[in-house]
Amino acid sequence: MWLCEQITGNRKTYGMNLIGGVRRDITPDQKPKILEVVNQIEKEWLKLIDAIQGDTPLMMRLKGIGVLKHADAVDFCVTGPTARGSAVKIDSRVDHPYSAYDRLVPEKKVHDTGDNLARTLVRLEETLDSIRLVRQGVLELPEGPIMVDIPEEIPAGREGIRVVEAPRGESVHYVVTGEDNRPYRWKVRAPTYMNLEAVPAMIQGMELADVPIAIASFDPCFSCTERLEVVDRKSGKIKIYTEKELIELSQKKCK
Amino acid sequence: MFKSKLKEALICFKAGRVTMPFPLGPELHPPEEGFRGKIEIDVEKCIGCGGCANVCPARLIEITDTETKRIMEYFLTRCTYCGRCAEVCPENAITMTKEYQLATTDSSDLYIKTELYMGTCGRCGRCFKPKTVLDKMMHPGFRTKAEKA
Amino acid sequence: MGKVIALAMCNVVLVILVAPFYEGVIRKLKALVHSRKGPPFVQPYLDLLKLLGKEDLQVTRNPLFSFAPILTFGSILMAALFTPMGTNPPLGFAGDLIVLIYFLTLASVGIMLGGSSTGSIYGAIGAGREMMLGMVVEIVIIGSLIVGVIHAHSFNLGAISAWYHHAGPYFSMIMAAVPFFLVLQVQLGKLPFDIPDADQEIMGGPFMESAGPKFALYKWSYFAKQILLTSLLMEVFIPWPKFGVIPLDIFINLIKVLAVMVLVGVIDAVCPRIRIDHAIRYFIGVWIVLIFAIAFALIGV
Repeated sequence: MWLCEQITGNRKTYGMNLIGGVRRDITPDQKPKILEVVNQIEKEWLKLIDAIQGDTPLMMRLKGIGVLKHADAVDFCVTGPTARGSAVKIDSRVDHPYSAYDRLVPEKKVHDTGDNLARTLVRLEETLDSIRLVRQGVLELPEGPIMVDIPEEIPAGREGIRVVEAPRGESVHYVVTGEDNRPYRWKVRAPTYMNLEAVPAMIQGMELADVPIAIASFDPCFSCTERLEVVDRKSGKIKIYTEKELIELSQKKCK
Repeated sequence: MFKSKLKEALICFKAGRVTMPFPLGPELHPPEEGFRGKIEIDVEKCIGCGGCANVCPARLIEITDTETKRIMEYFLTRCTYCGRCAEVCPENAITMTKEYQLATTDSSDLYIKTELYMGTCGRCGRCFKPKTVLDKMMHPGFRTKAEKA
Repeated sequence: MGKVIALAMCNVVLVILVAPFYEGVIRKLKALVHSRKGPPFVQPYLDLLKLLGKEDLQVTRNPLFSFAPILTFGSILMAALFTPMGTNPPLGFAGDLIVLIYFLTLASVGIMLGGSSTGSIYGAIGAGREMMLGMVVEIVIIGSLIVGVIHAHSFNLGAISAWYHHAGPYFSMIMAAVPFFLVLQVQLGKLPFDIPDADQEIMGGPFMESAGPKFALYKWSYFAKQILLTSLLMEVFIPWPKFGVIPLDIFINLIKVLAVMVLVGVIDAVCPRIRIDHAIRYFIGVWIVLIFAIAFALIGV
């Protein structure tokens, strides 16, 4: 995180992407620092993987628990490490490459047992793969401008849709441009929305003590599934806030 | 099983103590150049173009035009520290400092108000405000308080 | 008579006042394994003080709900009067091994009553788990202490301790010490066996509805069990060194308890929690070891 602060200006909210490019470049003196941090992470990660292999109580809670069968995984359309742990070979970085993923090609790590251990192993191996990609990217970074020239006025009423690979799976972004260079509608379909649908199939017939571990093994982000509706208690009517009203509410709150 | 437990315990002990004595002790990693902290406004340089208000994603900059002044209010309790206002400002009047310890019980600590005198008409000496909607659009920084478009 | 009362008061004071200190040691150790600084050693005292001052919520009209924490803490205090902590147990003439185990079981019963009296489903599940684990574990406690009884030909704990002090190490006693140590993890509510205790799985189990002073009493009884059961382990299975001077013996006992607590804390920090059916199978395996230990004791090894 300290490295990210040096590169982007903040430890977690990077804010690097703009329409047409990125905001900052990686300076030459940051490159050896990146490689050093990544090497350190790889060393510690390998030690950790080696240490937990023989841990019997841990394996007792991971092996054979929370099995999501291949047919169920395909039916519920789960994505990300949840799907790759059940022998479904999908990865949006490889199937629909975007940005630089046609040159930095990730490997699809697939396990076929479908239990907690498979999902954990998929994540562990993907970390090592990402370290390889970071190294390759830093060494092969070409020179050139960091932003493309875009027209001043983006025309209104145009649509855009794109699939992106988030750490939890496939994330879909849909944009409709509006006037004044602002979006009219922006919808994000987070991957946890579908992964959570597969939970009943995963935990059927299991003990109560195994349920939290099974749910945590596919790493749900519950805030991605939140949708807001305002219900009037007296009349029972449902009201959806428009953009103007939401902005007014938030501005009033902070004064 | 015992060997793996020993290995795990060794990994943990090797890291030492990672608790930092924040905020009473020295900082281990002070913020460097390019850190996006609280914004600071140099009123001398500001020309009141309103570019920052146009581009702020949190919509926290409000511009009001009175008879003689343009008042710009920054409600920094909503700030996301993205830094777009600093990038877009043509005069570099907004800069991002390295302050990040901003928790306070008084919200007026996070409120900035700048007042700029408007230009006067060359003939009569009075300040002017544009009339039609088209004039308003040509006038930069049209995000006023009255019409939140 | 005065000596008996003084010893009894000393035991009770040790259990009430010194016990949270060991919990502080365990927490500091856990923090050390996690690479952080951890709370100060007196933190459990501050926690108990804070909890005792909070509002006492009356969740149900069932009088058992208010009675259960008092039952738990009271039975632990009674058990303290029958435990050897460096010397003979203060009320050793009034009761022996069986009475001590009875009071310890009564504490578990108190937790079960408190959990199931509220009507909440998590409390019922927690009470059920406590019952299952208690059934498996009480036999191990009695079994490992029976080994000492067989050798010393007496149920009095002071007599067992004195006999073992003179007779030197026996193989069957060493073999019986290991199951008792495992039981320590269960009774103290430490990982990997803290199954009925505050779980991430069932949101606190039997303690979920108790707030403020009731929760303080439950926590205090767990802290007190630490010093009680560990003193029992040390006195019966490792009674050396003993000098005959009572304050010195008590002090040495406290040091030995500290060493065992360090071991308990390290195991607590590195293990994940085990499921209840795995734990029951594990302890049934431990019964077999115990049967061998009793067999060796009957031979006389």
